[in-house]
Amino acid sequence: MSSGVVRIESVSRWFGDVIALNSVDLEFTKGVTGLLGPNGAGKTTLIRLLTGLALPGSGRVLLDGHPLRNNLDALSRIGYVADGDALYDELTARRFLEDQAAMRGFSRAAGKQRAVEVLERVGLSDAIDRRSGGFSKGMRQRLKLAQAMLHDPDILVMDEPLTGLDPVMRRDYIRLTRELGDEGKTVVVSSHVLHEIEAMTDSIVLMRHGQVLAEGTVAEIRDKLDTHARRIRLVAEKPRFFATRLLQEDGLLSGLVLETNALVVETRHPDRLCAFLGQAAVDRELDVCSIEPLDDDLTSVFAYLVEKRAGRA
Amino acid sequence: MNAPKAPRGFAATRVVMRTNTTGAPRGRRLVGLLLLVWIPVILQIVALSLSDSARAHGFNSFASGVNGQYILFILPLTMIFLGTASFGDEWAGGTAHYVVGMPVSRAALVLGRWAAAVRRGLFLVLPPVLAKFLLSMAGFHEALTHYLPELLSTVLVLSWLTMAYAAVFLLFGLFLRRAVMVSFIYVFVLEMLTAFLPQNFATFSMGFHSRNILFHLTGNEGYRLRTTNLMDVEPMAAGWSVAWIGVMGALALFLSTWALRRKECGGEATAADAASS
Repeated sequence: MSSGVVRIESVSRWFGDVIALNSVDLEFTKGVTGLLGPNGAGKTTLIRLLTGLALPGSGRVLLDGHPLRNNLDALSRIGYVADGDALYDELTARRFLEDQAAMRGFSRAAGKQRAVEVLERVGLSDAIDRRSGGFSKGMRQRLKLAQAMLHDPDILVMDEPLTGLDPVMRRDYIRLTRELGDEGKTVVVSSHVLHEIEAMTDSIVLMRHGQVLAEGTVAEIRDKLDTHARRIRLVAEKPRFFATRLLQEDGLLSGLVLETNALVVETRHPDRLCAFLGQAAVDRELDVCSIEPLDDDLTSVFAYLVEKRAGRA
Repeated sequence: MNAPKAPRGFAATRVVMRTNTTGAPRGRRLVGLLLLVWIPVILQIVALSLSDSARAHGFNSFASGVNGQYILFILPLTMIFLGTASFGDEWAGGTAHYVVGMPVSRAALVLGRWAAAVRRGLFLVLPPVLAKFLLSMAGFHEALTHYLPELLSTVLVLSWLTMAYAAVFLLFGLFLRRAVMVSFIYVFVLEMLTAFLPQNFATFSMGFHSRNILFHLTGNEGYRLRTTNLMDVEPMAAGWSVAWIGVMGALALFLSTWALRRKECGGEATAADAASS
């Protein structure tokens, strides 16, 4: 039975003297996984390996245990949204998809029907008989997604799919990506924009300089950063009194900033802080209106990880 | 939805040929190619309309025209554009992943693209060749049917040559970045210079072999093999020439399949991407 698990085993890839991937081990399973990293992190190289379009210098890329490159059965299970917006500009959206469907084994009638279905799903029904050369950036992105979804693949790989989309299209694209993940497909999305990935999934892989910095959910990754102080914003009725009380706890805080109705604290012991706040609430000693972790978002996590690596180096 | 099984074997080759739009002559490229293949015919019409003495001398004139125009440079130049574009345009335009990401064997991809290039080449080159035949035979209506076997031989050899050129230039398009430029050099050196060198150098050229086959099949002086000094070259067995052209084409197709199995999609981009980091 096919489970749609893509495994990357000790994969390295060099381009001349430049290393694009350095001994990467990863596994992509059902659901949406975000591949995150700055430009040049190795995301596109990794994605090309996942789609069988490139060869690893060393290591293996496996789909359900079988090598992926030049494997026709594997290729028939993968959909790929490439970066860039290259399309066959002289073809209409319908003709482009019908040709792609024919190459994937659809009969003419089935291909025609499927092309209409997927174009409808990505919101391109109105432009079905227009040449893609006249499409806007957003429409081109949608057509690329339609092409990738055409054969209902188990694995969908998208390289920077939100680039150039307006906010409405961006929202629709994110919704569609989430839906595909919920349908049980293995979806890998790359981006260098943190909030885009955060909007699509909680499961991320952070990359930099061809290496995997961290993988897991945002919270899990944050938990791994036990040496780094966490910032938490506490909204309270008497923030000054609250601050005094917290500072009396030995070693609990490593930093504190007072605001008008709140205080931002830094701690290396979040569990102790939680216990303290819980006890204070029970004792009615302190009135806490809200507790807001400030660095569970990806921006902070990414910044921490990069700092951490730089510190080690 | 259950995705269908991807096509295999001949069905795959046929579907690749049918859906291949890359390299199809359109726009300025189509105009240029039409002009190239029809120029001898246009010039012949102009000459005929200006002077009665320009009237051609039957099949001999047709054979000389095919030899010195279509075999020498029109057919190879046409196939440069059609052959190199078959895959070269995919990489240049960034659409290669729509082809190589398909669950179709590399051999089927190569054969399908090659067949499409051959079909386009024949559609472009054969009509003006037929028109030239009719114009050349304009004053010899009674001999028209007599020369039909010779015409058929010419068409068959040109088709055989078209297949070989399509394969060679498809390989160049896959292998080389400046495939068109290299192909021009190939045609100029191997087909337009070497083909007329003495001392058996000419046998390296496919044009030489096609002339050799046609000379054997038709016995017409227009297809006689000559060197740059206009000295006659001893013809070789036609079978060798047929085999030479066939082997060149088959070898090019085999190498193309081998190259396509190893060729990466967007490797240059990723290298640049990595370098930027």
